[in-house]
Amino acid sequence: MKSGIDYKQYLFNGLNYALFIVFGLATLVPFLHILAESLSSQVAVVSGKVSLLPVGLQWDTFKLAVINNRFLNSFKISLVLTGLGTLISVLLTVLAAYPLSKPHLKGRKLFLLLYIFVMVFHGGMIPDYLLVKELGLMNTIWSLILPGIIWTFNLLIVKNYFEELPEGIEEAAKIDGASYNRMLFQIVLPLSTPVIATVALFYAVGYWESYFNAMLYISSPGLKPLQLYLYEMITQAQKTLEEMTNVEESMNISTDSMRSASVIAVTIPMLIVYPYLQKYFVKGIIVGSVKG
Amino acid sequence: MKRKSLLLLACILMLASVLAACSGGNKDAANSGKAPDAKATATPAVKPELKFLAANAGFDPNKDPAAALIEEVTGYKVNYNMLPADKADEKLNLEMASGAYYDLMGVTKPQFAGLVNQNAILPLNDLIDKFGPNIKKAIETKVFNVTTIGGKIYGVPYMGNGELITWGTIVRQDVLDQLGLKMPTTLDELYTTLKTIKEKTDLIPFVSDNAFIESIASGFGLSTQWYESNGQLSSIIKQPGMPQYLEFMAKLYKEGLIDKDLPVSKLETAKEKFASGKAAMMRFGWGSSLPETVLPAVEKNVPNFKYKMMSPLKGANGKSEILVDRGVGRVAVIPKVSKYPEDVIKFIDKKLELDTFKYIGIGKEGVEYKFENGQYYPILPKFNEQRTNIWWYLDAVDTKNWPDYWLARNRKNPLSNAVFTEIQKDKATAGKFDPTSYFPPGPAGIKYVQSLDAMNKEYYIKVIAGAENISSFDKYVSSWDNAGGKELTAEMNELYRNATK
Repeated sequence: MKSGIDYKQYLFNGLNYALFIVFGLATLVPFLHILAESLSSQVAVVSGKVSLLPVGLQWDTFKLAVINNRFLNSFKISLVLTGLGTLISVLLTVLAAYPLSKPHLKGRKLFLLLYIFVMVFHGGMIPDYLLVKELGLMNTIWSLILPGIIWTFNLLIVKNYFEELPEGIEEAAKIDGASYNRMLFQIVLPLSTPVIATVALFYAVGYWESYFNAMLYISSPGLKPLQLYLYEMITQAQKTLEEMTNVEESMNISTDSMRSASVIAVTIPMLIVYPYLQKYFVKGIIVGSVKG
Repeated sequence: MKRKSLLLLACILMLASVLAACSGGNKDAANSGKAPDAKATATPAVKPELKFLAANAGFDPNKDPAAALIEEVTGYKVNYNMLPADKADEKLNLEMASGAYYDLMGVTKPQFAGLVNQNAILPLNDLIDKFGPNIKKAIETKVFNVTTIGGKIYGVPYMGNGELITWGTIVRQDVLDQLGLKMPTTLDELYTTLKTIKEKTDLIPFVSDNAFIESIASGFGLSTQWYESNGQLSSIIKQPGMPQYLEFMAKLYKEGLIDKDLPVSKLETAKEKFASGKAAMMRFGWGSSLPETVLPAVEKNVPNFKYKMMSPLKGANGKSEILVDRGVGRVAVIPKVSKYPEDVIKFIDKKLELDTFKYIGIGKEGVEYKFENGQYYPILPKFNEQRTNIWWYLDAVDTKNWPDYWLARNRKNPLSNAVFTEIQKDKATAGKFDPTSYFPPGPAGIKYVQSLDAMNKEYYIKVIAGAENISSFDKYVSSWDNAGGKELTAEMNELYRNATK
């Protein structure tokens, strides 16, 4: 007996699928287009012949875009920035979240309020700039790490996770004479791999993608992270002849396919790493806990 | 173990300190540690390292071979920095406001005007008199007009690459041949040619990324932004030819003789249409790598492709005119915070010493360039080894000789050089200079030039596309006046009276 409900369910599912397919395509199609452009011959690109598949397949543009000093240098800078930044950020976030997760901490409410206040209200760009400058961080990698070193959002995630851990485990450790230090690093952290992985991923992606701070604080071309390098390459190419200070500038603009190749080259590392990290979310949570 | 966590912490701290030491670091500390106060009477034994800032370009200036060339020639070590590609003006203002240290900066004219207003840069009259003999020799007095405000010279002007026509129109000669048509020389001939192309082929007759098409405007007596008559300057918008030009263009657009996408056209899309062989004529130039990117593509897509550049069209009075660009695109300034203004002037001066300048710009004869029949030609690939990006490192040029030397640089790219040469041949007959080329930037100029320009462009497009009728022109001109045009005109006339001719 086919009831009206079944038909509505199919319709709903169908619409859902359709909607998600449309969204998926909307994000996938431009990407495929850029990928095709980066692998096509320059002539085909300029003639507008490239849509989703490469025309005149060639790998030279890619080689040119990747195997050049500026790209590799910026890549190195981004790697260092992401690695170092994520490490420090995660460490500090955990160190801040652990005490905040203990209900008996004195002034806990006040600290939490301060953190949240900072998340909502911001001093503005000029005070930020002056602060970074006065601290002597201009044109160093620290201007990209220190200003946003802990994200309150991540802090709250970790804190909540710690709060959800069964008290029994830590109480047992305390009875055995463990210090807070030991409890944090040897008991709580090993049990928190999912949240650490999540937060590390958030930070890593944040550092990898950052370009705004670099735009403000870095003027030495040797210190530009990858995203800024790409951003400048694309903006440079969009300048009209009238906006340039010297016509020679216009004679050395990167070609369309060079730019597309650079975009792909910058996206690929994240594409490769992301699925690998994703498995940490799916992996099981607490193994072996309070018995009895 | 407690040791494990401590070890981890120690590792992180060590890594952090190593990286802090290795990364950029504060160059100011290095600078102030070096040579003694430059204001001392004796020249410091060690030349100080200079900190330099200029506009964005697509290479690393500290690692470019040109940097080594400059150091070899001047003896100064320089720490090069670039402004960002986007929002460069804001970044410059931020840096100046927060007291950032630079010895020498290469800035655009609007940026220059801002710096003068903020009182952030040094007047250079005395310094140039004492330490800059070559600067005075290399740069013509009329060019210095641009950076002279209130009798004081605030910057060294970089004149650009000569007096050059930048824009023209490229025409598919193969299409003309196929249809038995001649190259149009007047507005009427253009109209008939475009009409024939539209009727007999399915090509877009004329494609452009800009509503102001120089080759066509020429027939209406429009070329420069400012016009002189009876000792008074007036803007292009007030010329009698302007409403006529717009009417003509609107007619072309309505009859489908101009690409219907003109209102939204950008250079990329216009390029695509011509490169894929879909268009017969296009507003074209020798810059922006247009010839290099477009011509090979058309050649591949269109058998028998032949092109020719159309000369600026003649109007009813048989005259044609086209803008010859000259003028200053960049100014070298010394911020007040610099500790070594004398060294900076010496640094600039050394580069402008006539023979040194030739060496920096195009190299040694027989090695990097050859001189044949009174013309300079690059010897490739040696020419490109150190000098590809040298233009960025120059503060100014030898105004008399650089236009000739520079042709060697232009000849590096044979395709654009071919288009370049063809376009320049109209200089003698139709070339026109803007009387305001060497005016210093004034307050009204900084405030209004860009916004008025954008306003004009918008209006042109509206009339051409038919969204507005040409009868609204007088109303538009008065709104132009009120939007700052009147002030701007007054300022231009004041500068005209004071300018050294």
